[in-house]
Amino acid sequence: MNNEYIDDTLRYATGQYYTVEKNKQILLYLLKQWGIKKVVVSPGATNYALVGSMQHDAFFEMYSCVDERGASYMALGMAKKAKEPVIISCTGATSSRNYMAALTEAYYSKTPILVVTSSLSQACIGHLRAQVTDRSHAPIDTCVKSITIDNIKDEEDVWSATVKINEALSLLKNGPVHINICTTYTNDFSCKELPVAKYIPLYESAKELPSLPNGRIAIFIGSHKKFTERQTQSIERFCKNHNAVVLADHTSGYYGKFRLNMALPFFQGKTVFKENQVNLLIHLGEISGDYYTFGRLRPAEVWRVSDDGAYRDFFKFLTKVFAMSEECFFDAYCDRNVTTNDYYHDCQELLSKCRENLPEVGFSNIWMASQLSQKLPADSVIHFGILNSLRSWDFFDLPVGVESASNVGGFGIDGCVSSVIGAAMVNPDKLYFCVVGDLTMFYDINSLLTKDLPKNLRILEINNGRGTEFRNYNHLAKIAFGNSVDAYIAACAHNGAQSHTLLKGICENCGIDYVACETKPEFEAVIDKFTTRDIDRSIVIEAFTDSDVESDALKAFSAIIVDPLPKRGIRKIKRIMKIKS
Amino acid sequence: MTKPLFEYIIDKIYNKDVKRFVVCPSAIKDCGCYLYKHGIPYVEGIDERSAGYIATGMSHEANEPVAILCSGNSTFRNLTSAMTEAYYRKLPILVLTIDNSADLINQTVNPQDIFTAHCCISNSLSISDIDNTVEEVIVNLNNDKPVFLELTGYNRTIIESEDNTHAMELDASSYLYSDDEIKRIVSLISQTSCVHIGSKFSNSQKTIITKRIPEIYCNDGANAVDGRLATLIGSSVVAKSQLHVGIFSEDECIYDLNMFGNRHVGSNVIVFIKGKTDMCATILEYAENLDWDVMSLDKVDGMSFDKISKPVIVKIN
Repeated sequence: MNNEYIDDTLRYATGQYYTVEKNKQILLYLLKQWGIKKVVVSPGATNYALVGSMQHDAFFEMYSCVDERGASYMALGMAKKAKEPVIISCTGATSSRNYMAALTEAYYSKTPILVVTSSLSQACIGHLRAQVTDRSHAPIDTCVKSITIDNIKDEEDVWSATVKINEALSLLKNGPVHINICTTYTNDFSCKELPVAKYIPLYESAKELPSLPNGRIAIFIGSHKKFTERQTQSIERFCKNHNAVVLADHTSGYYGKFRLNMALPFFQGKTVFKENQVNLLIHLGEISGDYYTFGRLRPAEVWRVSDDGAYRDFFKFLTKVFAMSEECFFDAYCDRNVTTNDYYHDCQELLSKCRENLPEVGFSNIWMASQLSQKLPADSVIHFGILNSLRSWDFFDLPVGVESASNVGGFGIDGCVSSVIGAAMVNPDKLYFCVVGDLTMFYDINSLLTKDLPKNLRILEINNGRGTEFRNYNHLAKIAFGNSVDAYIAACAHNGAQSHTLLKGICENCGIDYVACETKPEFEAVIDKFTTRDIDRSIVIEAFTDSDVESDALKAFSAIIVDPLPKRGIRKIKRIMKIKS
Repeated sequence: MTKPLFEYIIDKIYNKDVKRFVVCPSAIKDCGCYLYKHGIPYVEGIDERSAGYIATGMSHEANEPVAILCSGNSTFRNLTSAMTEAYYRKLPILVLTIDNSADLINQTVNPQDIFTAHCCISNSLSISDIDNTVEEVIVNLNNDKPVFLELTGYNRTIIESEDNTHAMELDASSYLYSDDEIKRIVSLISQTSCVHIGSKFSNSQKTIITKRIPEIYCNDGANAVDGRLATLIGSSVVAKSQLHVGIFSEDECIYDLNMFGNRHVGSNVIVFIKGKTDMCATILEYAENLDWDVMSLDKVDGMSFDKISKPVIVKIN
């Protein structure tokens, strides 16, 4: 009735623009990208930075309602009728509590309501601040996702807020979504143009997919359940069609064509990395243990493909999310028919260059990997401990037919032996290898007492008497503390301090064959026995190594291809030499 | 035919393609016998943590769901780490906890990143509600999501006695310390000792100890089998001049087997271990390899443990 009072002059002729608060700017920009424009606002101070900014922008179709309960039910009716998401915004204090009833209704009717609540910074919760209520838990049946976007302090916050808001908006199709946005109560509304925030759309149908960017395409695979034949074929066909490669280490479970384990090249000097820049990285699977590869990849953009549609921005270059099966995605892009596979061959050449020039190293995890990896019988499985063992073995390929796995999900050293025992129980006729360090072995030592322990286990324990990881030349703890890491950081001297009887004794009691090695010839002598497909007793090899030798081996492997000194650097060195002489 | 709730659930999930079971020590008596009787293959884990990781390894390898059966006391917390692994690798693992008594442990709030769904079934639900809940569990598993299913209010005595031969076998080997053993142990150690006891003590046995030795500890909070030896050793390292005495079952020592190898263990620790199976000999040898003195209670009468030069483990029987 009285709406005539609210004319355009009152709405727009304020002399104010958008708030300078960055979290609001990101939200506003993305709302516009996602096309979410209808909003029911309730009065208040804690949301006035948001509401004032919306008021300035004719994109937003605004409605006002004092009672939040009324506002939320009003939005429910609007969303159902208009078949599009509706925003509701309220201030602090108890205002948002009044949304609960309508949100329960919206939750069960899957109505897209975007609830934007407002708050002081999260740091204020619990300190008796007026109007601050704790919204960290929403009743489980009021929204499908609840996030908090605090006041932005740095680039990391910008990245996090951007991805979180994009994901939250992508979920409105499932029902109400809650964004709790913090404010500083600034009255600076001087921002005339919203800064660009990265819009990350979600694609759910293979019929409407964006076209692939030009340039090099790589597929990166984190830990993944076993690939089906069909999935592997889809990936192979895609790579063939687009001159693409698959970056897949021993945790990926991918054994198809175009597979490259690039850990070793990526561990080399920086010039190597330049040769491998990718324009588009397609990210599959979950957590990866391949630090060297993912640490060096700087793709121009990343597309995440996963059934779950979750926004996993591992590389921080995420631009698109595809909620669909991998085969569905790759099959949709088999149209380019590129005839060359030079990207794969370039990478392969680089890899060969490294592998052909491997340095001679001492008796260490890396050396044992170099010897044993090629002798594993086809149709066997190998598990790797976290992290030294996985890293050492990622420098080498496994024979065709050998499958591998590692506990990179929780990334714990606590259950690696149990996991291989569980796996070995599945196929009593296959050999199951496992490479672990001493901390991992003894962490899980009682697993050897498991009733009906399988006989097809082949455990290689590298006993360096500590968490040798922390003694590696490049580990930050080693750099800071030197060999003093042994005291507490690397947990030296437990489990009998490289006892030669401890593991042996328990193996004997558990019906496991035990062999100890301290030198290369001793290890070479036992490889045949270890790899023979003769399944009547499990075997444990305990290889005693020295942390300095382990570290030296790793260092040598990092310097197969070294960066040439830049010219300026050479001049500088010459000058210094001159001064000295 | 009436059957106990957990048997109904196990049948139900087994018929819906959960064919692999890992049974934790805490559930072996109740569930193990049922699976055994019905010829359903299962693996016995040596502790919950190991059982959890056996399940993750198995599920990945077989590409199938795996159910872990565990009791509802605090030992199920030991599954947290393996379930973290399951969550981040999208492995379809079902943790089924069974409770006999009133809720000792509140299981309703767990870390965000271990289970995707938390379901509860009690025997007050109607059959159709139970079936619906099981259906929800299966849907989650089929989507590679780890699920927690809490079974409460079932009574283990429901099991028919003639069906229970395997359980009887297990029961016969269950152990409690005899009063005489407790008295002999108490007579060997000084009154100023700090005594830690395991979970299988009667109140009168506790009294035998407290009459002579005032300082006695027992992890009664959650009354679980795990962590007993670790707790004893923790205490011993902060009170180095006080003799620390543990009286534990074989199972309790197996959970904490790796603690024998902790480098902080000093010469103020004595563990009395009540054996049950031949694993006891393995434990003793393991300790011996770590330079513990291994003795037998039969042969230590009249000895004093006030001054020892190494940690000691004494086999009770």
